Amino acid sequence: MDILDELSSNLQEGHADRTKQLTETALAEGIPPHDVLEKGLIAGMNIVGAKFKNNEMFLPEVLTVARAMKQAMDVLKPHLAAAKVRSRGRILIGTVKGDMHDIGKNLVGIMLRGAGYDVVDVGTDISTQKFVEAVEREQPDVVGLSALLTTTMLHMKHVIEALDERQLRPNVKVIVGGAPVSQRFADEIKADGYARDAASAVDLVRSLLRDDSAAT
Amino acid sequence: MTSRERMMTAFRRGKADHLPACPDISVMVPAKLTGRPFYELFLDGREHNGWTSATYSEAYVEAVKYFGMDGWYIYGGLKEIRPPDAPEFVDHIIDEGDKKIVRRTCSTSRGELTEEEIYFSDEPPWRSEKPIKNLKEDFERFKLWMGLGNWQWEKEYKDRYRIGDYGVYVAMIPVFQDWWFHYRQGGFEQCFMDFVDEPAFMDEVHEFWMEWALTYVRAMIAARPDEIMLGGSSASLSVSSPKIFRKYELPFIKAASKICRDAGVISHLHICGRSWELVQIVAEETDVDVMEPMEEPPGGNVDLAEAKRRVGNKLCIKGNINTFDFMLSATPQQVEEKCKHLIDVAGRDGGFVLSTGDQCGRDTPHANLFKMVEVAKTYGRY
Repeated sequence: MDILDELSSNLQEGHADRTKQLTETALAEGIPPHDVLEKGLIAGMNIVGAKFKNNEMFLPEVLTVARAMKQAMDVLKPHLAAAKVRSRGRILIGTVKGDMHDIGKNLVGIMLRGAGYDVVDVGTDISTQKFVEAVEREQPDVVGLSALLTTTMLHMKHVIEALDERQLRPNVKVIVGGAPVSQRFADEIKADGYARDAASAVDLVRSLLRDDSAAT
Repeated sequence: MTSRERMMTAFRRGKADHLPACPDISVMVPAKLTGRPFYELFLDGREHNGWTSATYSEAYVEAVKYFGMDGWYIYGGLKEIRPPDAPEFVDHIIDEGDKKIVRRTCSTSRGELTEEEIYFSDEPPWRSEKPIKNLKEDFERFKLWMGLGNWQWEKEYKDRYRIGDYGVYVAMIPVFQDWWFHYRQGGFEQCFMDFVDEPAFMDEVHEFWMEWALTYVRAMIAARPDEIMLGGSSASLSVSSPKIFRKYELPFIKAASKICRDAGVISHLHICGRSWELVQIVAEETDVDVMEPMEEPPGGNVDLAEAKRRVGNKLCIKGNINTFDFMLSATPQQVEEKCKHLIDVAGRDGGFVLSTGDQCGRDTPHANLFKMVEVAKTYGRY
């Protein structure tokens, strides 16, 4: 097994220390950082995403994988920056006003980072105003809005309208998700897309950003 | 036949006069019906043993009567008899106008525990801070609050009169993951990382909890509720895994359901979200009598017809209409068609309670709830 396959395999098993070591070893062996990322880590996360989507892996396992990914990325990031490797895109995620639930949002963040995107997580109970300020500050390519309550999901519409009013809307795609959200709702509020789960969110972002990297 | 008799007949997989209709309206729908801010209902200052409040539990019963449904009263409990020197949480309420924040502090001989809950005017409460932050230190303090053994409870459910014959009186106990999630700071992520990073310590926590939980089950049985519900939302495969279920939940569910079976008390397991894989395990490996809500897609992954086929000879099924994608937006006609379909596939030979896949949203049209009840009484007549 070559080192990148071994890296992918250990990542998929959630072996954080080993994943980190293999990342260091791969870099030490002169493998370009971009290849370590794409052929090792993202390749592994793509498999995890597919298994999660197909109910072959479950959230607790994905969380251990995410931790392994983070440790590897902490090693890899400076090398990617030095090699001027750009991320695939910047995604800003948050749970809307009045809603404290974060597990879905966190999972989407994990899967997007695993797919090579920069993720800015602004947290939970985020007002429309704060979303707009965050978009102005972070200039994301995509904004992901999460809600778990039928009563709070209505704020998603307000965020989209506010981005329109501030003339930020043309520069950013807005996707929505969460248990009570649906494609019909997304269409009604003029979101750019709806993802029913974290793995689908990655596919959706890829298609919105016309990213041809391997799909889950 | 009273609602209570109807529900109990269904739980025993029999046929009542008609199918029971028991949509899960817990928390939001009854609260909204009162027209009062939700925090007024929950922070009523009245004595109550249970996870809500006296006022909220009364609101639930009023909602049961309003909709003409069969009630499922899960709001009470037994009063614990605590040693006079047991450390207790003391509440401090901060009024923020449109919400109340309750900060609780418990001083133990090993230091303090703190927690915080936010009570909104139109949403259920939210635990914004939980007492176990530093895993090992705080768990030692927490055990002092829970007590180290010799747990005792009063022998009577003093609020039983509230539901009377309008439904069943349900004693409730959380399964391990629900209990741990309730007290562990850091959400689901931290809970699962505890299992991975500190397996030996979590085995000790689990052992401690099992001892407490089974003692409580025996105490509940002695007070003879209509049934005992094992509350397992956090064990759902939407957030957890079959491996964790087998390790941490199945031992308790097996033991508790056997104790209930031996005592002639119905046991009832609640696992919302994705649960299909667990339905089969529960039917084959435990003595659980009733399982719910067998949530259908998109929130869950249970096909009710298939569930009835595979486990209907072992389990009474309570479920399973989707609450957010369907009940919120369907027309009463669509609700009628859905209910008739579920009755046809799961209710014709008894052992079925027409219900929803989880709690109905606050703004669920009343017409849809009334329609469920109407269909159960007419199309669901045996």
